[in-house]
Amino acid sequence: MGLELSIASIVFLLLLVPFALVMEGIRRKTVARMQNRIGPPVWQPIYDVLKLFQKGKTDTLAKENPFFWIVPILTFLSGLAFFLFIPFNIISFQHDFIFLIYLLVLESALFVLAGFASNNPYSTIASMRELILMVCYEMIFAIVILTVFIFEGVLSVAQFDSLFLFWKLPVAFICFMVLVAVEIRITPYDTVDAPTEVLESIRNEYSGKGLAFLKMADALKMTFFAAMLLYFFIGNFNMVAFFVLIPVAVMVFSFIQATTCRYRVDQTFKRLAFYLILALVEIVRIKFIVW
Amino acid sequence: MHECTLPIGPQSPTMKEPMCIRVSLEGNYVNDARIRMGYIHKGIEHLFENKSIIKVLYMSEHICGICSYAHSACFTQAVEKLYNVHTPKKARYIRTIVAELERIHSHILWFGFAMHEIGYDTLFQYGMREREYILECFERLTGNRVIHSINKIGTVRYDFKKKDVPFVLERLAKVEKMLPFYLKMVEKNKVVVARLSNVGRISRNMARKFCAVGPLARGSGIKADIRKDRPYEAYSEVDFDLITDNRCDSLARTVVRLKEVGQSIKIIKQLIKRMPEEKIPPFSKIPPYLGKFPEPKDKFSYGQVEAPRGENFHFYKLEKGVVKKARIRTPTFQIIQLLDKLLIGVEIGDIPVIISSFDPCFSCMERMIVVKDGKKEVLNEDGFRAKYC
Repeated sequence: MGLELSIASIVFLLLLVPFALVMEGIRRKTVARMQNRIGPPVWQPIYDVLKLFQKGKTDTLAKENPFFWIVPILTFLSGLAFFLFIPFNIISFQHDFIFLIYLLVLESALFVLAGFASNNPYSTIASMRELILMVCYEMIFAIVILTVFIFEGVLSVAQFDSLFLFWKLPVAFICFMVLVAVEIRITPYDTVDAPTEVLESIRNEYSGKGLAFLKMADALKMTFFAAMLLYFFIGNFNMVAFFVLIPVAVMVFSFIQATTCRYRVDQTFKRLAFYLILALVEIVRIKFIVW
Repeated sequence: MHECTLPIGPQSPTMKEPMCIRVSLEGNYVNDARIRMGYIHKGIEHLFENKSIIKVLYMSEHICGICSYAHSACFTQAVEKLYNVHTPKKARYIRTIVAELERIHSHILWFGFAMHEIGYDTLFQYGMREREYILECFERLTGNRVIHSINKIGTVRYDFKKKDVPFVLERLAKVEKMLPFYLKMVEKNKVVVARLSNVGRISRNMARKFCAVGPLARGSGIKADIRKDRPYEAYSEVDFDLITDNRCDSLARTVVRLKEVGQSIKIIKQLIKRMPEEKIPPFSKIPPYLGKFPEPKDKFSYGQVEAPRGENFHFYKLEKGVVKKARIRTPTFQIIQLLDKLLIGVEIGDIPVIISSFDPCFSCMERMIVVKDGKKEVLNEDGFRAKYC
């Protein structure tokens, strides 16, 4: 295990949170343009977060629960920890992709915990929905990552250098796109974040700094998935091109969000189960048929 | 699974107007639903009493924001029937045009909100754009965008100018162009169909039993439309289809409303083509204007109009040009009894879809509050009968 820090990676880590928030701004702007609206400026999420840090806490019964204020900070930190692997391999060790899978489960589990800790019926429903879906989508994630690493025959994220893998693993790529939609909670799989059904999802009782941390964690997760999609399936050929392509990937997600509507939770689960089977088929396929 | 109670409303993104539904949940499914009303009760029937016809005419428009014309049309119809007022042909045509524009406006606004409930915000924004075209038409024809105040007893306030024709036709063409796209989106898009079909089923018998009106009844295959059953204004002179759908679910209601927009555009085009060349009288000779008018024997009168949401019924007792008693039955008042029955047994995600498929208008609906021993009770028709009759 080694800690590899270069100037570029330090600058990246310092500017990571504003970068992720600008990506969130780009998503909102793209959706707004597709919806025949002008939309907020791309740096609006940064303003929002700065404003939330100045705000005080609202008085809720939930604040007696220590998890209520600790969990958003932990969620944010786990969101930061993703970027130790991709795109700069700051930490690398043998079989570190298993650690990556655990990190994602941790982030989702903390999200669920935040909902249960806030002692609100709507947040509880959102957490329950996330738990139901986690059963499926974390397995899809693990299988897709395993497929990629078995196909490449490498043991660490740092050793990974392959271009245009989506051409060789098309089914895994489709499964991964579906997974991204579930993870970053965009339509058609945003049952957890459905504002007309569960209001503000798990964020109902949060305010001030806690809400700011949750918002930043969401932005970080979205940026991370855009980065991971590029890293594994397009290829890490040039750092500058990589950072230009991240907004493009975010725009693709925005396009999906703007052109679909949301499934009910049972329908989402059925579809995820189907994609789980597809992912299993792919991991078996690379053993026998390779092109 | 543990049980819990979830309050939906009075302030919720699910409903655009305040109403509270307390839902008992068993896991993810609804066990029991209780509707609580009374957040925007205005007591408008009482406010009508002992006011002159002219005052009530403009007050009646404030019953509802979206179908404001339908209420004033109902009142005008009641007064005109009682005093045998003759309305010129052109005035009747203008009234019909405004009524149909209002139907288009209401249905498109509803379509946007219904799509917003299932997460299709793009179609919601598109719907808002189309609605804006219709509001511009209103602004041109009546001078106002929401409360039109076009009706007068026996006549209308503004004449239909020839220079407005190309403007209105152009705006209608823009709406008409988008309609097939919306219909395709609703009927062919797999996600929309998955969310809407087989949700909130109202069988034909159930709709008959609860006297459902408007698109809700037509979505259950019942041919109920006041425009066809008892034609008023200029509806007997125009050609249009009565849209029904036998699928009985939320999808059927959506399709019915969208197809009705097409029929409304058809009606308006016919009326503009046949608009007679005559002058509209500035006022009509009835009691408030001319004191020495003979009082009719019968003091009771009613108006019956097909509002965008269904049959709108007003019943009045008039004496010497003054409203003595008023009774208003709006379409939502009639259909809201079905709501809590449909909610039982559905998933939480279906609640917004079912509520929006009703197109409820709570400010129209809230008619009655019973105050007894300092306790406030809001009752619907069934509850009132069970308790006090």
